[in-house]
Amino acid sequence: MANLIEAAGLTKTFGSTRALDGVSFAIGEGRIVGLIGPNGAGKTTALKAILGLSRFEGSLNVLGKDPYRHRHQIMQEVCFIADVAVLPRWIRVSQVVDFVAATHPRFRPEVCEQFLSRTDIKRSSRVKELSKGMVTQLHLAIVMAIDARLLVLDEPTLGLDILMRKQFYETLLNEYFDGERTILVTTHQVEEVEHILTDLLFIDRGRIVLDASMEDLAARYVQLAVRPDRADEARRLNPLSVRQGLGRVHMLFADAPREELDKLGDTGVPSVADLFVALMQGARS
Amino acid sequence: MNRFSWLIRREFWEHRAIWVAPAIVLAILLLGAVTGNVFIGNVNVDHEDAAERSGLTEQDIADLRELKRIASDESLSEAEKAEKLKKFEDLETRLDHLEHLSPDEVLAVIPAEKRAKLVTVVYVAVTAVMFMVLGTIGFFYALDSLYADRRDRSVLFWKSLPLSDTETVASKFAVGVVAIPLVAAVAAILAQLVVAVGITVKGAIAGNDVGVMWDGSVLGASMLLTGVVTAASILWYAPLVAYLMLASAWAPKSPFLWAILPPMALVLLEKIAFGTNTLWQFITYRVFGVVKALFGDESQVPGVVIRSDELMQGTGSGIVELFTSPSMLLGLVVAAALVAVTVWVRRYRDETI
Repeated sequence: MANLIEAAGLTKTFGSTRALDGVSFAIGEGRIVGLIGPNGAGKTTALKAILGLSRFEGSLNVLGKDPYRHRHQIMQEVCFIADVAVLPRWIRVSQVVDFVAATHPRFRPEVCEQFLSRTDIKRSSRVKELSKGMVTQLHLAIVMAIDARLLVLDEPTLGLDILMRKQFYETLLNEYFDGERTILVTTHQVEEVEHILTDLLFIDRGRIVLDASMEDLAARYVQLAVRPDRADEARRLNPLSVRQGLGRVHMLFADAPREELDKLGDTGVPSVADLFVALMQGARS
Repeated sequence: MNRFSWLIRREFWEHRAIWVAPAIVLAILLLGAVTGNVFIGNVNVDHEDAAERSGLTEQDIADLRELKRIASDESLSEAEKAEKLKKFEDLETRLDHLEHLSPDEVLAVIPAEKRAKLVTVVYVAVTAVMFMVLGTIGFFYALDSLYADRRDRSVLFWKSLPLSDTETVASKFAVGVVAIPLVAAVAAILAQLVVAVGITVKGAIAGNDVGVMWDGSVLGASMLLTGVVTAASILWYAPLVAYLMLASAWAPKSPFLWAILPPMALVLLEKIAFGTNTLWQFITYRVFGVVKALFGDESQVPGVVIRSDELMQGTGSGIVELFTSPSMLLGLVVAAALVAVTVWVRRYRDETI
């Protein structure tokens, strides 16, 4: 399938720090990609470059265009939620819906109305009168009513309680994602998104640490729970990480012989969070 | 075009002061009209003007002059003044009713030929009030226009819509330069009508003749003046609005200080280095140009004194000069350049959020 985003040698420096250090990746159509990394890894910088909000070095192609030069054109087909707090506080619900309807050719008011009707949001309220959860619901209703090809979410659930976070991703997956749209999401709460992702991009200190689809992940990485008495045998197979558990030692392997691991203990697919921790530690040591 | 009208509408949603403030001023005027204390409240009448209608004799007027002379004689002590003024007590009591008159009462007691002037001053005064109110609002609007959404980060929401930065800046510039003066014009004309109705009703109840309020030439002149002030404001203040918007787009914090301090620093530098005030004169010229052209260099606050001859004379020549001055045209060129730079800053300003 065609690539929606192609980045090659993407670099961004703030003074002497390199927020992005020659990053290259491609995101295909119909994928749900998690861009995951610790604070200051360069996630937001990368997203801002993709959205045409900041200057960069290297080459970047979003929907066939240079986002920095053609921001308002690619915004016809790209949507983003930067984080929960960016809707202007003074605007009324009805005003923001009317405004987007009047300025966005791909906005479908009836879809937005349908999402809003399921919430307790009053059309006459101002954004500042809404709770944090309601603001997110409103923003999501607007964004999901836009028939976009690419949706970019930067920490979309920051500050929401766990119920709302769950609901957010469920709605996103069940009602928005249709297999053709592409979603790029950054978040700290890896465990909440991992079941909806098709691809992972780990980023640390401005560099890509892992670029893999979830299928690749299951094929390449193995999580082993081994009894302490056999731990040394497992250690010889070069685990990425070792973690002491209750009566078991948990190890994470990359490209290790599966049959040998199976003999040593219980194997399975590692969680994204565990893999993230293991790879980050590996990258930094 | 439809998109553009929505962009303009957005500015009115966000900056409600643009229509709330003139509405409040109108409400106060209306209240003043209803209670009879129309805007300037009370006007002090020149007693000699009112002599005929107030039943003052020639002897009274002679006494009045003597009274004023004594009151302002600095060689006399307070006690001596009181002693000398004693014999005028009766006159003062009779003049009491001429103090603190409302406009319709003033109209009733002054000679006919002075009425039109008074009414013009009244109309000019309410117009000036509206333009001052909206001028102040326009100043802060321009400073806020491209900064407020960066401060609360809603700029990220606006930039997530397929709107170009040129459209955004153009809409805000149009509001600051054109829409706000137009609101001021409409509000000023409404204010003139409110005052006219108020004075008329009050006068009619008191049995005073206030027909002059609706004198076609007076009303026409005040509306014409409103139109001229509006056109002059739009053209003259375009570069100032553009400058403030540039500060608003660029300032990392406090666009007010970023807009004010650099020119102030230059003014100070010029003063220290050359001992001259050229820049300061230029700034006041750009800021008060329209006011000066209308009211002459004295730019006294209109409406306080009844004698408005100079005021009305200043209107014609000053305004024509203003419209045809190279300064006006050059200002428009500078405004266009500043807007272009503002669009560029809005588009490429790298926010490190």
